[in-house]
Amino acid sequence: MKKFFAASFLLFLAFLLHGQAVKHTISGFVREDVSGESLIGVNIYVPSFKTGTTTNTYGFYSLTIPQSGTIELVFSYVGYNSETFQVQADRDVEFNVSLKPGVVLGEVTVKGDRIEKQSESVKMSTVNLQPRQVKNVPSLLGEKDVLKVLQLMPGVQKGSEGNSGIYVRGGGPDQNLIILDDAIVYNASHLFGFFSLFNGDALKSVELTKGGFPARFGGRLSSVLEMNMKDGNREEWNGEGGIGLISSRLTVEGPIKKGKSSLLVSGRRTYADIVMKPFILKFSDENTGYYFYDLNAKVNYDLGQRDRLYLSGYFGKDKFYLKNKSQGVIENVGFLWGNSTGTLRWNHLFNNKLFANTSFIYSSYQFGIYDKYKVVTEEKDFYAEYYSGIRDLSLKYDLDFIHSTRHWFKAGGLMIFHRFKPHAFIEVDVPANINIRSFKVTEGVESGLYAEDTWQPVESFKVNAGLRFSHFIASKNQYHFLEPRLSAAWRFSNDLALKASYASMNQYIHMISGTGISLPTDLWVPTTDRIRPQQSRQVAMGLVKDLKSPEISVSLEGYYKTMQNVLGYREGASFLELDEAGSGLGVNWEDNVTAGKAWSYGAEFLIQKKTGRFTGWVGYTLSWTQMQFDSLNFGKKFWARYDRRHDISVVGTYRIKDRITISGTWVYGTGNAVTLPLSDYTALYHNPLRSEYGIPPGEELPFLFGDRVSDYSEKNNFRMRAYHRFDLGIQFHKQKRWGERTWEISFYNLYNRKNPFYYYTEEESVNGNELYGRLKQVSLFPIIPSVTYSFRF
Amino acid sequence: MKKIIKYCFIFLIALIPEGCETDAVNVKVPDFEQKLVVTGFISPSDTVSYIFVTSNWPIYGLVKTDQSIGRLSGSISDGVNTAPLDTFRKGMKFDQSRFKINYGKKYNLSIRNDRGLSVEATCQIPERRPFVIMADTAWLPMRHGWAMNEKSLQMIVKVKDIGNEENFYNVGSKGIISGKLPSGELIRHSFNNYEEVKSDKGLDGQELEWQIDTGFRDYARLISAEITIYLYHTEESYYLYHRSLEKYHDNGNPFAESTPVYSNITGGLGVFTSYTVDSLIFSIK
Repeated sequence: MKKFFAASFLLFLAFLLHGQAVKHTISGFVREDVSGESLIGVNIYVPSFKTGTTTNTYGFYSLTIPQSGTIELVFSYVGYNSETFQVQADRDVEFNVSLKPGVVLGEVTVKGDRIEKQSESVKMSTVNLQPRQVKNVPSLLGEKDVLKVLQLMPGVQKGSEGNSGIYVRGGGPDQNLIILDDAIVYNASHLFGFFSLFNGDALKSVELTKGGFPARFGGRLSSVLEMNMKDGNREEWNGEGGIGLISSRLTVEGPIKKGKSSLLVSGRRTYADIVMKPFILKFSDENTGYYFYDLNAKVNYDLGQRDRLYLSGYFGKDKFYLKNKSQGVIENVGFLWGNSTGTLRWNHLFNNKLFANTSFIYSSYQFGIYDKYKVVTEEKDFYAEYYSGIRDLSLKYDLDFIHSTRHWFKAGGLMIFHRFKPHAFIEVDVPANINIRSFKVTEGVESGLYAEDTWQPVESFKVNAGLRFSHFIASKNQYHFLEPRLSAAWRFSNDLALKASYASMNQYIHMISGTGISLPTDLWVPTTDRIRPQQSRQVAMGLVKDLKSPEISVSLEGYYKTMQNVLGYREGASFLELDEAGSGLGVNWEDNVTAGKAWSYGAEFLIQKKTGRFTGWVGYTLSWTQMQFDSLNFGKKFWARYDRRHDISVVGTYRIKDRITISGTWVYGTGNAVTLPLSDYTALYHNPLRSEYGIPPGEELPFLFGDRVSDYSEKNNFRMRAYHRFDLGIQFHKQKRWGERTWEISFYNLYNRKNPFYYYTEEESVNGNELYGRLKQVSLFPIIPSVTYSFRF
Repeated sequence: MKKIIKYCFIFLIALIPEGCETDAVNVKVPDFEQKLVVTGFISPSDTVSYIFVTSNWPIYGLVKTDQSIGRLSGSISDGVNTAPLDTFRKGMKFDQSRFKINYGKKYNLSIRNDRGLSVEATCQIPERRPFVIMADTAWLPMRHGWAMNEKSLQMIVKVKDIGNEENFYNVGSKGIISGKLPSGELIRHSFNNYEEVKSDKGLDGQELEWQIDTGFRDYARLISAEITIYLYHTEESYYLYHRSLEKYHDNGNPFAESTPVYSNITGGLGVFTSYTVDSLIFSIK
């Protein structure tokens, strides 16, 4: 066996070294012309060899080609002018390139004739969004939202009305790895999920992977959403911002040392609490309010030709408060939640083929509720506080070895020290002689090692194969798994490719949610000795066709995914259940959860036009998602809440003139599966000490008294009405002496569809003393117009 | 603490604009299926054991809570002997002089009506255990109601759990307390309490404690009291059923998934379960 491995290794080396003597490497960075911002995923093509490559996350590329004289290199990128350069390829060359934005007033144009086609990439099940695309899509109250635009892509579903949580291929919102500059973001929403916390002005790239995960990604079952913040303009100070109905935002960026170092600071805050405060205080003793803010900051510094440092961070908080002062009683109630992340990254270029990045990452999410109650005259205090959270410290190391145009190796490792506080509880009630301080901290170490290669043995076939070793240390047990990954693309013709992928994933941390919507109360918990890791296997297959004129890509994908050890609350359990009432068990969330299985399968269709006056896409998803838990629904299978048979999104942006852009979105989705009561009955309690009820005359009988309760039969036994909505936005752009301004008027839910948010039952009296039961529907958002003013200077 | 979470949702609920509540149209509501609702708590200490039988009722359309359950018949069996059940106004019953319920034994219940509905259920009576009930009194802040800042006479009841087995309990108490007001007026205060069900999870073999508020407040001088404490040793199904009823009404989160009430009735709803009773009389003179 050893001989076999040795022979294989030598063969592999020989293969790699084949032709080395006659090849040269052209390498460098691709940046934006005006700002010096590094560009991710720029396509570099060598027409004479019919080969090419792309830039990595830091704008680095490396192209090794046979020795030749002068060759032509074409650099192209969506939204930028393509550039063609003549390069002398008779030696290794360092060749840095700046691309000029080809964007006029928000339009996405490509003036070159060649960008990377979908059919050429080995990637499948991937969605790339340009932040400027996000800005064109009409949105609720004018708040541009990356996650809500992703919800318009096939395979990605929203939860409930207005919610920014994403459900990818039947997976829950905790199964999405959301990364901002390498830092994990645990709760990606503001205002109970109505707005995401990602400020589009500060983002450079957004990529969502739904399947066919490369080995470098791990730790979640269903998707990876990788976002990178802008580095900041290295050449000049500029900024952009906006004033909306509920919030305003401002981003400023510029050089600290021109051409060498830059800074970006971006902030956003809502102001309903400030505006409303005088009115609330005028009419009420209660001072109540809500606000959220977020702040992104990034600084980078070139340490030389081969080294660069980045320091970036995100800080955001939501707070709801209610202060009441009356009749000698001061009550102060509120809840708050927030994320903070920090990433220190060091890029190092070993040589023209080997690029490394080292990241030190801090990430934290905290949720808390407090209630302070004070009787001033009697000096009696009540104080209660509940909070939960997670804090990570991580070290990550990634290597890119771009051996040739046929092989791009990536390898690396990650270690995360998780510190969970599933819940901490303090209750002090002096009169009642209560003083409870309950804390429980759980720790876990998650690590992963990976290696992958994107290999193109022949021009028509490309494969990305990799292996990830993942490991988690719970308090006593350790878990480790090998996760094979494979994606392949076979081009039938110049513009038609068949793609297939397989991915095995493990997830060591879990979010348990007792509600159907994303709330800050959702609890992050680790894999423990009792709670096993979640696992998934996913296969996908698809066809991609690129049309040249008009430049449209069409894709059709099918997938099948199985998930094991998916967690959910036991029936009736709540995050506030700090102990099991009526038992000696203390704070133990593990008793409140149950593990089960899930299956998801379906087909996704996408037709997309990214260039020209008219851009947009049509996405359609046909899918099924079922779940099964021993402790839920009597062990029987049930439809997941967000099982959605049909999901359609139509998105279009049309530049009528240079100064006017009109955009529209229409969405349709099968109704959510929810649990509705089938009937009611009287449930009797047992209290043998009383004897007033139900006693037959002359008979001694214990007292039984009851409550009216509902029979729910099976979980998620009912389908809500289908959801659909049309949004429209018109943008008016104008160049000013100081820069550019845009007025946007938008209408959310233009035809005022009353989509169901939830149902409840209600009884009313009819015919005197009879009762009539009805199913009532609550809708959230009617037609909502909004006006937003944006500027760039 | 749970009131805090209710505050938490005020803002969210406030987001729902008025007038967005409508009848759900173009929605087919679930069809009504009649089921027998059976509730039986049996004990070796009963002279007559009662099994209450009612029906569920539809909630969409005309609500008729008095659904007829038809003519009932049924039996109870210990696997060897079977006894038919008698009917009474609220269901079925059996006299333990004809069919004895014994400690530790398993019993099968079968009930049907003349319309084709039938249910089955099983329970197992807890084993007889030598429980020692200890009780004492203390003047402590009242636990319930509007007078939480005042003190009342409270019973501290302790029971040592039987180790190495799962046990479920409940404690009840009733009594009469005599006192004298500052004005000199004599008062008699009677009470009847039934506490929350308890499990020995996490307290196996240890002492379990209950604090029972008699409601006799400290502005009156205590003269005498006669209080009976009952310890109910129950089946797990008894515990699960009552816990699910408590949770049903007190989830604390309006957006939480629905909480079904526990049932061990095959083909119907409700519970068929059992308990045993020990008691202690506590007197103050």
